[in-house]
Amino acid sequence: MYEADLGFMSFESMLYYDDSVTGQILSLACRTMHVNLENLLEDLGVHVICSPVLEPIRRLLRFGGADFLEFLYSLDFLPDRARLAISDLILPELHVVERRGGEYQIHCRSEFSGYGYILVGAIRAMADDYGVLAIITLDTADKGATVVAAEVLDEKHAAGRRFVLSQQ
Amino acid sequence: MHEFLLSDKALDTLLPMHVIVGFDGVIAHVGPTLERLCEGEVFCGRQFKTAFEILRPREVSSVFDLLDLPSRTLSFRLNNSKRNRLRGAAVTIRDGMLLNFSFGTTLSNAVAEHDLTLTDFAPADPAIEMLYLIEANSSTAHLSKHLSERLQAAHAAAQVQALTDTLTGLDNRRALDQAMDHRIARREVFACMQFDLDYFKSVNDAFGHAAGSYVLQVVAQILKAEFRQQDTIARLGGDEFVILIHKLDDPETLGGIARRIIERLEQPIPFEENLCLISASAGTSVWSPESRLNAETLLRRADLALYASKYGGRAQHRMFDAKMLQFGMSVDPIDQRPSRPDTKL
Repeated sequence: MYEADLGFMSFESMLYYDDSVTGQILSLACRTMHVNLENLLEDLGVHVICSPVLEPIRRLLRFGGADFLEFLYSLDFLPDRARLAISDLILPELHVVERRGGEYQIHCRSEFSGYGYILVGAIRAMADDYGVLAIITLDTADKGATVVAAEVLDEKHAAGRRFVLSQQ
Repeated sequence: MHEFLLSDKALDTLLPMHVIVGFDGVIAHVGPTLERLCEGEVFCGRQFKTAFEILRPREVSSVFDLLDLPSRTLSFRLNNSKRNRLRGAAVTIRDGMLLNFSFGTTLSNAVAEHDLTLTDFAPADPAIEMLYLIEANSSTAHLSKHLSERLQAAHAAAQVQALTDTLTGLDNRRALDQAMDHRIARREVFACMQFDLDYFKSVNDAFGHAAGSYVLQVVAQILKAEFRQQDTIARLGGDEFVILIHKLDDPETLGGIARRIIERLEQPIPFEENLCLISASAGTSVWSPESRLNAETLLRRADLALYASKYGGRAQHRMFDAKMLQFGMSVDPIDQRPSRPDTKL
């Protein structure tokens, strides 16, 4: 944070920061950790789902559906659901399309072209969470138009992580 | 009027918390989610009124009375679970009546108590959205609460910093002004004792600023040790210190305190291989409700007494005396200081 030279020392989760801060932090993180931006963003997507600290986010996403396919379709409503949680939280619009059997495309409109990589990481982690074997890849990552491909190979691959509706 | 035939399965999907009651008042079918609430008890074949308690409306002899009511608010409780109220609606069907239930505000409780899952709710039921909202709200409220706690702590720390002299940890001028205002507002007697170090400049010149800073810190320690919790000890910057002494106005006691402190300050202070030798001059003024002095005047009076000590030969203490006013105005160097015309001395 010293190196980033942002003029402040830590982030508060309920406050807003300038978009340029995101870029600064990401490029500094890449340099410090010796990884490229794509991998860093994918790991970030996984982290959002898997980190015990961020468990509330995983839980809220699991409300989307009883199984992975229902979850995928619930992504259509993700920005609306996010707004229910925090009224001024704006997430990129997502649109889920079924291709052939077991193949899905998640279309995303975002000003931030790296958003697709975060989605790939997060959806991959959610597949694990549901115990589903799926291949999640980035089809297109153009500015403003990102497409993530999801191919579901085995819906009952593993037990998945425990999810009970009631908050423990 | 059209009539439609619905299978058990269709009803179970659409209304997983429904009950069908025959004309004899016996339960003929229970939806799957409602069955989970029964916790293994078999409801089919029992009289409705032995399985359910009707809370509203109060006066019903038969469950079929529920069909011709002006009020639409029906409220029930399962006889095996006293905690969770259910809201309900009843309609006539060919074989008797159909009642459908939902959780009102007891939703979260019921989900926890009966370990309900996403599939226990009808696809079109907004209950899941409600659970989602409850959980999202509690998460964000948690975060907001943490944020405001941290802001509060930061605010308190900034406040302490703003009122503390960084070198010595004593109160600063701003804190002293506040303390004087508070004491005057409380109309409690107190003494304002001012110290000015003697020979401090020589220590600085001879041994450097580090020695000077160290001496000031030692002086602060001595003052903290000599005064009480209720007293206010402040450094005004430089080598000037002011102490507000709680509920004390006796000149002899005050003189004794000042002399004891001056003696302690005259003990050599070792710094690295040198011994720093200082002393102090002191002056005291007293505030009482009858004095009707304001803070500024009180401080100037202590200042005048201090200068009388300085010019009287240093290393001594004087109480303020009205005679010092002439002395102060004619020969004292404070004459050159800006003074407000409304200040009563």
